[in-house]
Amino acid sequence: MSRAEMPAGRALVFMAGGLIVWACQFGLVYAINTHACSFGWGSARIGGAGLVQLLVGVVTAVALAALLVLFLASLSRGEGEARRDPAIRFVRGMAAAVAMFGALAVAWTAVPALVSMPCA
Amino acid sequence: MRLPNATPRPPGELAELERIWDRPRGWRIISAVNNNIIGIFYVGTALLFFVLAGILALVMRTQLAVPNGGFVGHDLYNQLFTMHGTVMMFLFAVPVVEALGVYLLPNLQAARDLPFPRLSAYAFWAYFVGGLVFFTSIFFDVAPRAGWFMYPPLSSTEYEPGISADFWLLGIGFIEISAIAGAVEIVVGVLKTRAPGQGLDKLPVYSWAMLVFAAMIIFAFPAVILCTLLLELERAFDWPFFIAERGGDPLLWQHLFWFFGHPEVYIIFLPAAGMVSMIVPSMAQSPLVGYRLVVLAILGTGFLSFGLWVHHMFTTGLPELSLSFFSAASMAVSIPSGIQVFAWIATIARGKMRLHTPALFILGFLFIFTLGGLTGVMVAMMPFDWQVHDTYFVVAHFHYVLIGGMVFPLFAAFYYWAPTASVRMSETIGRWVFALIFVGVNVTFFTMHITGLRGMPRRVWTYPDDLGWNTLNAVSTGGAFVIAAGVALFLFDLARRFRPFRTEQPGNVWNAGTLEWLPSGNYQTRSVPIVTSREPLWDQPNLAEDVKEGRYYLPGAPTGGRETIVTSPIRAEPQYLLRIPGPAWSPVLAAIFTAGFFLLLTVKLVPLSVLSGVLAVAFVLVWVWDTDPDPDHPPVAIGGGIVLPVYATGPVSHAWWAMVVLMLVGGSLFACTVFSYLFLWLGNAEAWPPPGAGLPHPAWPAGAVLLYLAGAGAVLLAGSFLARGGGAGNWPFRILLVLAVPLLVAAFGADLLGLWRAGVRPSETSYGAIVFGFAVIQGLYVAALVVMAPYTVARSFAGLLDARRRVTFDNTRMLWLYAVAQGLIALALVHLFPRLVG
Repeated sequence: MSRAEMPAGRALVFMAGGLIVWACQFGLVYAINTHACSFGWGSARIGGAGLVQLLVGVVTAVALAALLVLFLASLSRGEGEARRDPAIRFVRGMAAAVAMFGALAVAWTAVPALVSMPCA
Repeated sequence: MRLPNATPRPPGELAELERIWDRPRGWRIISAVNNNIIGIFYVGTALLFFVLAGILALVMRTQLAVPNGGFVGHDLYNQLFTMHGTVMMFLFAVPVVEALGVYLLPNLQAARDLPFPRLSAYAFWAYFVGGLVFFTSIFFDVAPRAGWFMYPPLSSTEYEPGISADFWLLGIGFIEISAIAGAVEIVVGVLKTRAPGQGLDKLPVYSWAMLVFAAMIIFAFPAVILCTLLLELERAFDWPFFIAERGGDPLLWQHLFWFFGHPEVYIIFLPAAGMVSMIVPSMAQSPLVGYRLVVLAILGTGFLSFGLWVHHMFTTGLPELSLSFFSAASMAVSIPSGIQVFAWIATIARGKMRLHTPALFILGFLFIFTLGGLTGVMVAMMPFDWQVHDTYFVVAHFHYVLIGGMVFPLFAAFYYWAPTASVRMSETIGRWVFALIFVGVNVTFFTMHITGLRGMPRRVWTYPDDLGWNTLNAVSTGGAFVIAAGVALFLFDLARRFRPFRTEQPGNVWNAGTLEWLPSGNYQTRSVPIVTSREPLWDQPNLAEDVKEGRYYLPGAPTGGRETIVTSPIRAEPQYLLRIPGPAWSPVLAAIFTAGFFLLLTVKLVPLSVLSGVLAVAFVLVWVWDTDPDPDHPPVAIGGGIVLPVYATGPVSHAWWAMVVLMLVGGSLFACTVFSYLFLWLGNAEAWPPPGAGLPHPAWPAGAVLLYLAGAGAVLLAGSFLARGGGAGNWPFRILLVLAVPLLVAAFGADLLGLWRAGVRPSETSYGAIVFGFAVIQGLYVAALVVMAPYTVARSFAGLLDARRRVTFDNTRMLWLYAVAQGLIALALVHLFPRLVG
C-alpha cells in the first residue's frame, strides 16, 4: 500500500504547473489588451512607456518568477523513499522540464505583445 | 523474481472467471458492457460514419469535377458540406479515438475493464442512436446548411428559419454528452486502473496521450456546449446573444466555438500521435527514443492548443496585438509536434523498421502530416492568412493535417491491433489500401493548395469555366475517387477476415513489448502482472506464460463477480478491489431516451421530448442503483501477501475522481459563461444594465445567498448525522437532506424573481439574455440535485446507505457544494459587478 505516494491531484498539477502558469499569463495578456482597446487605454502612457506594454511586462515578469519558483521546487529531491522512487522522480523531472517549456512559451508569446501597437 | 501466486491454480478457477466475464449471447449482446465488446461496436460505428461522410464528399467532388456542374443544386450542396464536416468531426474523428481508447486502455494497462463500463456503454449507444438519426436529416432535406461551425447570423432564425440549424444545435447535444462521459471514463481509467508497478514513469505513451486528450475534452467541450445552448436559446426564445441590434455579438459565437474548435484538432491528433508512439517502436523493434520528451510534447501540445483559437479569426478585425500573440502561439505549437516527429524518426533510425502495412501508414502519416504542419505555420502568419482565408488553400491545409495526422495513424492502428480482436489483416491488400489512399490524398489535396492560391473560395457549389480552376478541380475529383477505392478495398478485407469476439487469438504477431499483446479473454488477462519497465514483454522473460497461468495478481474472481484492481495514480500501488457492474439494459435504454430527448426537441415535439428526458433520467437511476455495492465483504487476497479492501470512499476511490472530473467540466462551462458575460459587457459597457432593466434590490441576492448557504449547511449537517450511523442518525439525515432541496430551489427562485421584478427580460437585450443564461446553467445543477437528493434518501430507506456505504451521499454532497459555490459567484457577478463598474 501507499508508502511515499505524493497526493495525486497535487502531483499532477505540479507536473503541469509550468504550462498552467503560461495559460494564466496568456489569458491575462489577452484580457489586458481587450480591455485596453475597448476603453481607449491603448495609447495611454506612464513614464514614457505604453500602459498596455507595461502591464504585459509586469504580468510576464510575475509569470517568469512563478516559473522559476516551480523549477526550483522541482529540483528538490524529496526524502527517504520518495527520493528513490522512479515514479516520483519522474514527476519532479517532468515538472522541471514543463517549467522550462512554460518559460519559453511565456517569453515567446509575450514578445509580440510587448512590441506591437495594442489597438492598431 | 518470486511471483505472487503459486501454480497450479485451483481447478475451476479459470472456468469461474470465464463464466463471470462471459459476454451475453445472441441479440442480448446489446446489453454487453465489456470494453472489448463496446470498444469494437464503437470503432465500427465510427467507421460507418467515416464512410457515410466520405460518400457525401464524393458527391461534392462529382459536382465540382466540371465547371457549371449540375449534379446537385446549391441548397443540397450547402447541406452536403455542412454534414460532411459535422459528421467527420463530431461523429467520426472524436468518437473513433475515444472508441479506440475504450478498447485499448484496459489492455495496455492490464486492467480487467475500465472503471465505469456502463458509462462506456451509455456513451456508445447515445452516440449510435443519435448519430444515425442525425445523419438521416439529409434525406429529408432538413440537414443544417451553415457550415460545420454554424456561424451566426447565418445560422440565426433570420437566415435559417427552419429546423435544420436546430438539428445541428440539438442533434450534436448527445455527442457532447457522449464525449464527456467517455472523457470521465478515460481520465479515471488511466489514473486509477493500471497494472501494479506501472507508475507514471512507465505509463505507455498512448495512455499519456489519452489522458491529455480526455483533459482537453473536459476543458474544450464545455465551450461548444455553451455556444450551442446560447444559440438554441436565441432561436427558440429570441434571447439575443448574437444579434447586434440588441447588444449581442456574433463574434461571441466565434470565440466560444474556436475555443473548442482549435483544441479539437489536437483532441483528434494527440491520440493518433499516441498510437504512432506505440506502433513505431514495435515496427522498429526498438524502444521509443525520448520518452520523457514525447510526454512533455504531449502536455505542451495539450496546453498550447488552447491559445490558438483566435487564429481562426484573423480576418475579423481584432486588434493587432491580439493577433500577433495568437500568431506567436500558433507557431509555438509546432515545436512540441516537431519533438514527436523527431522522436519517431530517431526510433526508426535506431531500430530496424519492418515495412508491414502499419509501418507504411506511419510513413505516410509522417509525410502528409509534416506537409500539413508546414502549411499550418504559413497560415499562422497573418499576412498570408489574410490572402488565403476561406479559399481552397485552407481546405487543403486542414485535410493534410486531419487525414495525415489522424486518418493515417488510424489505419495503421487498425492493421496493427486487429490481431488483438480477431486476426491479422491481409498484408497484400493492406499495401494496396495504403498505396491508393496515399496517392489519392496527395492528388486530391495537394492540388487544392494551387486551386486556393488561384483564388477559388470554399463552399461554392459551382464555378464558371473561365477562371483557370477546371483542370485542378477535375484532378482533385479523380484523387477523391482513388481514396474511395482504397477505403472500399479496406472494407472488403475487413468483411472478409475480421471476426471479433473469438476465443482463439493469433498472439503477439509483431513481437511488441506492451501489455495489450498478453494472452487475454473477455476478462482481459488471466492474472494482472507486475510491471517493471515500459516494454514489459521485451524485458520480463516468460511474462506472457506466467500471466496466462495465473501466477500474478488476481488470478480468479475472489468476490464472485467482476473486479479490477484500483491502483494509486502516481506509483500504481494496489489500493482496493473495484467490483465492476456487469451487462445491463438500463444504460442502453438511458442512451436511447437521451438521444430521443434531443432529437424530439429538434422537431418541436416538446411533450414527447420531455417524456424521453424523464425516461432517460429514470433509467440512469436504475443503472446506478446497484453500482454502490455492500462494503461489508471481507478484504480479499490477490496474491503476494497483498490483501485488498473491496470498498473505498473519499479521494482514494474512483467515484471521487469521477466527480472531480465532472466538476471540472462544470467549472469550464461556468467559466465560459463568465467569459460570455464579460465579452457582452465590453460591447455594452456604457449601458450595463441597459435602460429599463435595473438591478434588483440587494435584498433579493442577499436572500438568495442566505438560502444557498442554509441549504449547503443542511447538507453538511446531514453528512455528520450519516457519519454517526445507526437508526439515530438516519432520520435527521433524511430530514435535513429533504429540507435542503426547497432551500436550494428557493435560492435559485429568489434570484430569478428579483431579476424579473427589476424589469430584466431575456429577450430584450443581450444583458437580459446572458443574465438569464446564468440562470439556465445554474438551473441544470438545481434540477440534477432535485433528483439526486430524493434518490439518496431513497437509498437510505432501502438500507443501501449508511455510515460506511456512503458513496452516493458523498457524490451528492460534492455536487451540491459545487452548485452553491457556482451560484454564489454568479450572484456576485450579476449583482455586484455592474455596481462596481457602473
